Amino acid sequence: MKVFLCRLISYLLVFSLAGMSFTTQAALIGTHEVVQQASAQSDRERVRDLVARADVQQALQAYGVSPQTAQERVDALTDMEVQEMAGKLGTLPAGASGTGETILLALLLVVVIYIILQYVYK
Amino acid sequence: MKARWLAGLFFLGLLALGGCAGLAPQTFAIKDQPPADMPLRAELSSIPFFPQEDYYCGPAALASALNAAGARVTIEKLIEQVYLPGRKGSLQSEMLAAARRHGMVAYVLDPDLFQLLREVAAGTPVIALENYGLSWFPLWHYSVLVGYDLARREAIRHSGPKPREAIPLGLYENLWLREGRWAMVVVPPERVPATASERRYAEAVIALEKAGQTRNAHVAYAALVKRWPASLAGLMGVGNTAHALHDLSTAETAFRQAVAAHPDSAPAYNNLAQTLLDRGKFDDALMAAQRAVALGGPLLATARATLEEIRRKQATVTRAR
Repeated sequence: MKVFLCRLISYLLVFSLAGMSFTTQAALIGTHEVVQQASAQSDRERVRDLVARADVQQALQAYGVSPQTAQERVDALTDMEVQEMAGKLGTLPAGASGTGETILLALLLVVVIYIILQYVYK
Repeated sequence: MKARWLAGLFFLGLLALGGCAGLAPQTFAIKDQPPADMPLRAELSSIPFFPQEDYYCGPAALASALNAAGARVTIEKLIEQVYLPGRKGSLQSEMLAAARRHGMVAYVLDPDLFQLLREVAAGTPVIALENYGLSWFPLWHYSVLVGYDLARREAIRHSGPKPREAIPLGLYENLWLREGRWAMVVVPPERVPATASERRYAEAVIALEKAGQTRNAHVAYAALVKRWPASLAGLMGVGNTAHALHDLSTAETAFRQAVAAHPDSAPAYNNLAQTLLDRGKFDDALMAAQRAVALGGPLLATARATLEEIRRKQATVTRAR
């Protein structure tokens, strides 16, 4: 896994370095650059984003998503979402259930805590 | 019926644990006087219901919202796009991303109960993240708000196996505010959510564009401009997406509108220059590029490069004559 990640990062670095010419290209300025009033994204930031994306993709796979699907899912996330998710897939809220049993379980918890509190304050 | 009693009992249990108003502050605040600027009740009867199996409330909620917005999507497809097996649930950012993949704008609402209700009043169902448990023992869940009644203080939602379940509004507020007051809507690109702000809607459309949905983003940017005519992000977005779709005429019009509304925007002049160059209008392109360079700013290097390219192309054409 780690070897794969390191290799992935090296490929990405090579590609991004190769893609960067030493002079800036004439181009359309992206809409996001206008909204964020960004300085032209520095090379370091670009690499950081690529690494974060690779990290989240790896993590999705570790949590049971197939490699192809993980790629597609990460591609649809914004840079900010990727940054928020990186390293936190295990702890972020994951909406899951809503059946009656869950409500009952939660209710039971409340009752139990109430009873405990009664004892504590007696 | 039984669920309502259970829910009411649960709410009473919560009340027993702590003060009253703090549990559902906004519901409590309107106890005597509902807000004047919104309908007393609303119910969306045509929001499709997808019964949820264990752990699939994310895909089920998204299926409701996406189909209501006009995308024909199955739960199975969404399970693949949003369900995280290792966590037995779906993450919030992935809910937004999945909506984008189906060409819809995914927008996170303001953390305000009445903004959620206003969206429903305007015809848009709301997906909310709820926490049935405690902060140290959370039980997360997504539900779809499809109606409310301020007089009876009820929230009506699709949740789990139950369509159109009415629960006390205070309980709905409490379950929702526990996990950061997070709620989202899914809208087709031609519609702007009723409670949207310009900046955050622009960000949502940019996210749609970056997900590769150029055509839908183009429509959404146009809707942005319709709602906020002077929006630089909107006009730039229309222009950029039109350019990507090889519609240079629309792109030029959009960038001209952008520089008219924002005469000190170097990016707008740069993109106008690039588009004029692509259309072979060298003289106009040169003027726009020179303006972009003169305005300076953080993207000066790009503006200079555009100017250089125009000069090169002009020289080539002159030599060819």
